[in-house]
Amino acid sequence: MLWRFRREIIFVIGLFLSVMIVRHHSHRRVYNIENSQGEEIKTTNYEELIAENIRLKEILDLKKDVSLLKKKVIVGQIVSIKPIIFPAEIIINKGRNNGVREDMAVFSKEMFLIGRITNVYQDSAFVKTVFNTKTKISVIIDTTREIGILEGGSIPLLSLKYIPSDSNVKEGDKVITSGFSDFYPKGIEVGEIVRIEQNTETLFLNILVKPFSCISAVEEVLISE
Amino acid sequence: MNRRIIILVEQFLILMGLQIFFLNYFRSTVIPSFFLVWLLILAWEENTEIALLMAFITGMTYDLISKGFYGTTSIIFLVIVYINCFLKIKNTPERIIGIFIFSIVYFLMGLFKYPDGFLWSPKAIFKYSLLFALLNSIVGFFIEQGMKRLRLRWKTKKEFLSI
Repeated sequence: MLWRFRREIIFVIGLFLSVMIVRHHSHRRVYNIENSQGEEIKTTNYEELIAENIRLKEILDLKKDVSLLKKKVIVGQIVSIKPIIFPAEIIINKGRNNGVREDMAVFSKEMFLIGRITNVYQDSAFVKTVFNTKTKISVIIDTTREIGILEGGSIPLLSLKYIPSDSNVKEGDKVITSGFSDFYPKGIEVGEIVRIEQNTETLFLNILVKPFSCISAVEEVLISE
Repeated sequence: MNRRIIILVEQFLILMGLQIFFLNYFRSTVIPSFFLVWLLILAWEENTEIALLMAFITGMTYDLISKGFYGTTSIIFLVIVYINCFLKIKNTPERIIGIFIFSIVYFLMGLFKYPDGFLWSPKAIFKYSLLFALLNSIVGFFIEQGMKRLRLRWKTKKEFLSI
């Protein structure tokens, strides 16, 4: 009898195990165990260890002189990304136990904006990146000081909305956070303008922005308010 | 050891090597999924139980090598393989079309998050899913040819040994 439904049994068991792994991986203390095991392996890989030391030293130097961030800065590591190209969501190995809270901003070590914390667990947190279609950031163009809304989702670029069609904005102009929202501090670089198109149907320009942070290549992140 | 298991392990290792190589060195915005294509072919060749088992294993392997969310690819692979267990696609052109369609399904499932919806805009999803499906279709053709060659090699070896 059971043999007749062997396919369904394998499917259900596989699905159950996968769901359990997803839940365990994103909500529990799995990262601590993972990291402690990883450290042992990493010690034998000296080149990787040296590269990691250099990166962390850069972050430490940066932390001493971060005038943009008023409060404490937490250094975290990216554990998972989704999808693997232009990640819209990432998991970091710092959570409630490390002082991470919802809506904190996440940056790369070069102080480029990566995204915002959305869900926090004991030892991990989910980050909604600038590529996420739900991301909306209040920004300023650094040359013209005009305020716009930067929207994610239009891969691989970001869409800058509500810049008037008579604006003097040029390609290559930097886009920085305005500080008007509760989530991101003022003055954090997000990207540069790569394309400007006139829109005859509205009073605004169609502007595309290339983000500075290449999230797929980032390993350590800074988390702050 | 069972010859069938050896062939399966051999295919898995070759595809894992290719997947790791493409993930690390293929300079493209879209990377083909060798595992997905292989699982579809396995399911169509009526190795349904093995295909389902491998869907779980390859899903976990893929998440491990691509730094993905552990377990999510396994779920997607299992669902796609289970659906394909009921489809009996035999000839190459139909299989290429099947790979194209299910690559799009895989791409859409990978970008969906409950309750937020899709992580990218519809325009970006459309563009990249088509590109991904096209790449997978090309890969599918070569994987099928490779699988045929592997099987032929083992058949020849068996015949030679029996002599």
